Amino acid sequence: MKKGIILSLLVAVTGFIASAQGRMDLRFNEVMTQNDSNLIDQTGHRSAWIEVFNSSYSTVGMEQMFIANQPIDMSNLGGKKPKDYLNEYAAAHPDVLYEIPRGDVATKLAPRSHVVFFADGNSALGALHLSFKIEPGKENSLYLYDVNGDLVDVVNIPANLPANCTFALKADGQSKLIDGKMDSEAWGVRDGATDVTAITPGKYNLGVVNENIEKFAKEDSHGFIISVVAMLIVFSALLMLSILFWLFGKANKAANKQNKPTSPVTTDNVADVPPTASGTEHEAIAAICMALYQHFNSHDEESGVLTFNRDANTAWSSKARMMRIVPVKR
Amino acid sequence: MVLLESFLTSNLEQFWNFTGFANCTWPNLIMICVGLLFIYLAIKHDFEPMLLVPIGFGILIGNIPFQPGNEIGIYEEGSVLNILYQGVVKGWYPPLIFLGIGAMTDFTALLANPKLMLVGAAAQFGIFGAYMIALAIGFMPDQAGAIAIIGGADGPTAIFLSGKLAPNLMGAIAVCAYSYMALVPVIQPPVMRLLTTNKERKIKMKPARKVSQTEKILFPIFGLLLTCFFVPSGLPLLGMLFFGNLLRESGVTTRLAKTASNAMTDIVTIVLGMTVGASTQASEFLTADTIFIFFLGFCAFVIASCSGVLFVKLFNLFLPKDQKLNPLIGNAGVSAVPMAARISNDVGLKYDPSNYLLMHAMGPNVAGVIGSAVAAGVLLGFLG
Repeated sequence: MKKGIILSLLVAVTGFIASAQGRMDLRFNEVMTQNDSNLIDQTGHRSAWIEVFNSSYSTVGMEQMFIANQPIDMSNLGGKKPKDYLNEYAAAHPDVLYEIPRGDVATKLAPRSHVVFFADGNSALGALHLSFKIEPGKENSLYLYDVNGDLVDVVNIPANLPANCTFALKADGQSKLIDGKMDSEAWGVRDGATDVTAITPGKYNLGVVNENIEKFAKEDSHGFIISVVAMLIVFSALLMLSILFWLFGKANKAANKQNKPTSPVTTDNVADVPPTASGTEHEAIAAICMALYQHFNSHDEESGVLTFNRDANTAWSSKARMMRIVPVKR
Repeated sequence: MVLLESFLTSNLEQFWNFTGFANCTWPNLIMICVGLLFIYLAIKHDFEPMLLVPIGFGILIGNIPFQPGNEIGIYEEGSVLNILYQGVVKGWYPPLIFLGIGAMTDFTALLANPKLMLVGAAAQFGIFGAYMIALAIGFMPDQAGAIAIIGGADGPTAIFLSGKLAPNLMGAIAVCAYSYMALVPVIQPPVMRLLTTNKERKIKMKPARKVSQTEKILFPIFGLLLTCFFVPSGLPLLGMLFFGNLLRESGVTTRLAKTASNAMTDIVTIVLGMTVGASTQASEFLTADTIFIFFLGFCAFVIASCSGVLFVKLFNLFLPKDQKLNPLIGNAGVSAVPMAARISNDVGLKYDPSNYLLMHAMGPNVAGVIGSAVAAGVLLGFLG
């Protein structure tokens, strides 16, 4: 009973941690502040939009998370739980903080998938419509908070972002918070002029170039540096392992020496087997021979251990024993 | 009557257009012949049958022509084959195979003589030698890395890395890796003979010391910690390899180890082999790149065997006279387990019928499994 409760608790805690971990993998991926000719919502209107990407390999639900257009001060909660504080704040300041409601499957993100929110200040239109607007022509910031008030992601959108252009991650989901601030190196402006700078709401940011590969193609075109470095890493890893187990071997040897009896025990090199062994001894010798035979011909257990698998089946008890093997011509 | 005739004609025509005969092209037929060749080699000549039979049959499945749009093909989203193929694309199968390999592998030979790990490391130069040649031929670094891993002589690792770095080349890389693994007895002995003297081939190595059960239990734990702290990107493969080995050596999870090494490995091998084979559709496989991949794979195997043998010779310069290693075990640094070790033994026996090298060669052989997974992790870390 006690074990059952502990196990259930462990499962619950693990599940909670896993779900929290998934939410921390959500990323703002692409933002358009002035939408004159781009995405249209279900009512036929255009508005600023925000794309969020689930960079994890598991489904993540966004319900009860919060999107804000300014940082929320969580230092003084007035004795409330962070979730309650944010709930009340969202109710009191819908122009600042939006709580993603429960129950809409659109906010359940499949692994490595996207969702687009419209910042049109009309949350009555559905879960994907934020309660606040993004004003173009000025610096905007967006904050994504987890249910418990943890900051998940931030993006600061430049004021000079042209109309119908987006501010987007260079590679989907590839950014991380640095001391609670956005990784500005990971972001860039997309104008839709070429495939590389295509505007892609709800889709992967096309034309993404793997900078690592470009870098290696340019700076190590013969592959010499990567080969030397990689070989050094492989050697170092195996050398460390080798040294460690050499030391273990030494310690083992020393321990065996210590455990040896203090007075030497003399043993004969030849086993003393009487020429006429009794019936029981014959059986023992036969069993040892069988075990040796199995050990060398059908090794069934770990090395160095003699095992003797007794097969209880006979032609009387097992039909399989009475079957004749049909000869096959090879 | 006329109406019935036209009805029948149009329906038969529609059916004909749906059949494989109407949609068949020469490349499809060539690939079907390749599949049949694989099945023949596996059954008649015993060339890696556990892998070449599923791959060969998969090639037949993948190259039966059909009209697209009916959720049949391996590349059609939602089809049964596509669902099974996700294990290859997302990289689930190779770590599961590694779990089985870990549960099957006895690292005793390596633990008895830990310096043999370095031979396993040296043989990984085959990967990086092939990487440099691939770059010189004109492949991009990610493609070059995916192709070069063939030099590790480890099918699951090759599939894992190519699935991440160059998914479009994965079919060709997997087929190439398994083909050359089957050809190890043909490729390696001439290289070994070329690089060793008669005297070196007769070196008798010291019998291995006894390894305690504690050491065997500690090995997967420390092995995981050390290698994965160096190369976290190798975690899916190394993590599962060492986990499988702990199941085997702990002595309290024999049932799990048996399942991992038998039933589970068999199931994953069947699905993996079949889907990899089916992914080699003519349009993807019959390209100039495939010819280059086979050429690079061959280079990788030869370089790996050479570097293993030469490293042992170099190592011998620093070892005391009574602890010299036989250079014939150097080829076993590639991770084709246990084929490469068996070849060391066979070649050794030809020159001295009393010199059994099998257990000594198993050390670098299993070190090669770890080494190739570490090398794959390094390449993934750099190029992923």
